[in-house]
Amino acid sequence: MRIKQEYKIRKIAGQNIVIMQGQHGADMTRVMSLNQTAAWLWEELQGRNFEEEEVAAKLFSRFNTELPTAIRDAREWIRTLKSHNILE
Amino acid sequence: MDLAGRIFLQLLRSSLWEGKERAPVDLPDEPGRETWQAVYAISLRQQVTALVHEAVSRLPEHLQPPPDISLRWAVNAEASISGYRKRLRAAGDLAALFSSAGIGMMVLKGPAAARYYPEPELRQSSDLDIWLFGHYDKGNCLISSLGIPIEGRYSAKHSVFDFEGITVENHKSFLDVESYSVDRFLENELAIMLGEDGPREQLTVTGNEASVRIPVPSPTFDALFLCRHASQHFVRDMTLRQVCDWARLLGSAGKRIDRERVVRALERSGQMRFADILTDISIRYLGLSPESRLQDYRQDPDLSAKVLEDTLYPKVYIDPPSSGTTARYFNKYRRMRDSQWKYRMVYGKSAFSRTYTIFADKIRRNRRERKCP
Repeated sequence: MRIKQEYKIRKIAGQNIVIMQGQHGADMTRVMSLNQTAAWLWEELQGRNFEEEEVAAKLFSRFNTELPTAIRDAREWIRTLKSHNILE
Repeated sequence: MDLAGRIFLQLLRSSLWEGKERAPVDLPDEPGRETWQAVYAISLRQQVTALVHEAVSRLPEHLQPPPDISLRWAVNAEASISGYRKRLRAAGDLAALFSSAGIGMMVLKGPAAARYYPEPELRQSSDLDIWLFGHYDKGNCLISSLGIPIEGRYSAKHSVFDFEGITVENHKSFLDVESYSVDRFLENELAIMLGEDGPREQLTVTGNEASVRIPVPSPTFDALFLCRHASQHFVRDMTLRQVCDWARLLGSAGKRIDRERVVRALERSGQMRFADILTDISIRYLGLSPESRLQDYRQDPDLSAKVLEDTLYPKVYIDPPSSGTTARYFNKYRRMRDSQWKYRMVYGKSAFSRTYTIFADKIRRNRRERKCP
């Protein structure tokens, strides 16, 4: 899987924002706010293919967390992006 | 010019160029909410929302607009970018469709002009202009055969249809040849250029189905076409986007323009003065290098400032609610009266004389409907 090329993070008032255009104009626009960790993962993984294991490994090595926690957070990150149709 | 106008121009100039050519943005500390609101409104009105937003997003955090304005701006910029991508995909699919019927397709203006920008998708546009190399009617028939309704099939300049949610203008001619003698002259020049040179440049476009290469006009063609397009808008509703197109064309593709040929055609069609003003505004306010100009020209800073001011702050003529025909015509009269100087610059004659000519042409016009086989 990979992050769709058309999406990018915008920094607005210190927040990491992703804007998703709807099919039928501005009325359907959705805005997603990412916390620092989610934004960091995005920056690390955008522009290439990745798997759940790689996301977990990145969280594990960067934040020195328990492996099960890293796996759970990786799944949650992927699930959130998928639910917004940001991954392909 | 007020503070918002000056900030707007600084940001626009910064987003038009890259690397060493990019001018630094020097804003007063904390421009303030009202000023930012005004800058945002100007960028919307001037059809450069995404371009200016790109410069805004590079500002240090303490100089950024208030969060609510930033968010609205970002959403509008994203809508513009997403619209560009959607138009490009539609162009790819449309080119493939016409190609399957043996019809070539060239895109005009929008994506063709966007290729002169550092980031093409930041150039705002609203529809898709296409040219079918003389197969205007055949193209309309193909679209009709798919059950897509076509408006204005028998209009002087182009037909209009909807394709994948995009408004497409299928051009019968590049310019409004039935209304303007200057357009008849320039149309002939453009046709000769296209016939002699052909569209040597192409855009690679990934449609929803496949990747295709779509021809685009040469920079020499665009120098005539975009200048005349801007001058036609100038008398009514020109925006800075059209001036940006000119600045980017000269700045990024100036070396590929046959200047002698373009200058000769612009002089013979009476458009040279207007082209020089576009160039002068581009140099003075938008950061175009003076070496990129088409020719040496008589500088008139006051006139450039007047054209810029008129573009940035257009006078609005609003018909009073439930006004009658007389009031509406009076409003039209006032608009034409106040635009005399613009008509004279572009057409060498007054708005009233221009209107008479158009009416006379329309009366003489005799259109014949062509039926699809």
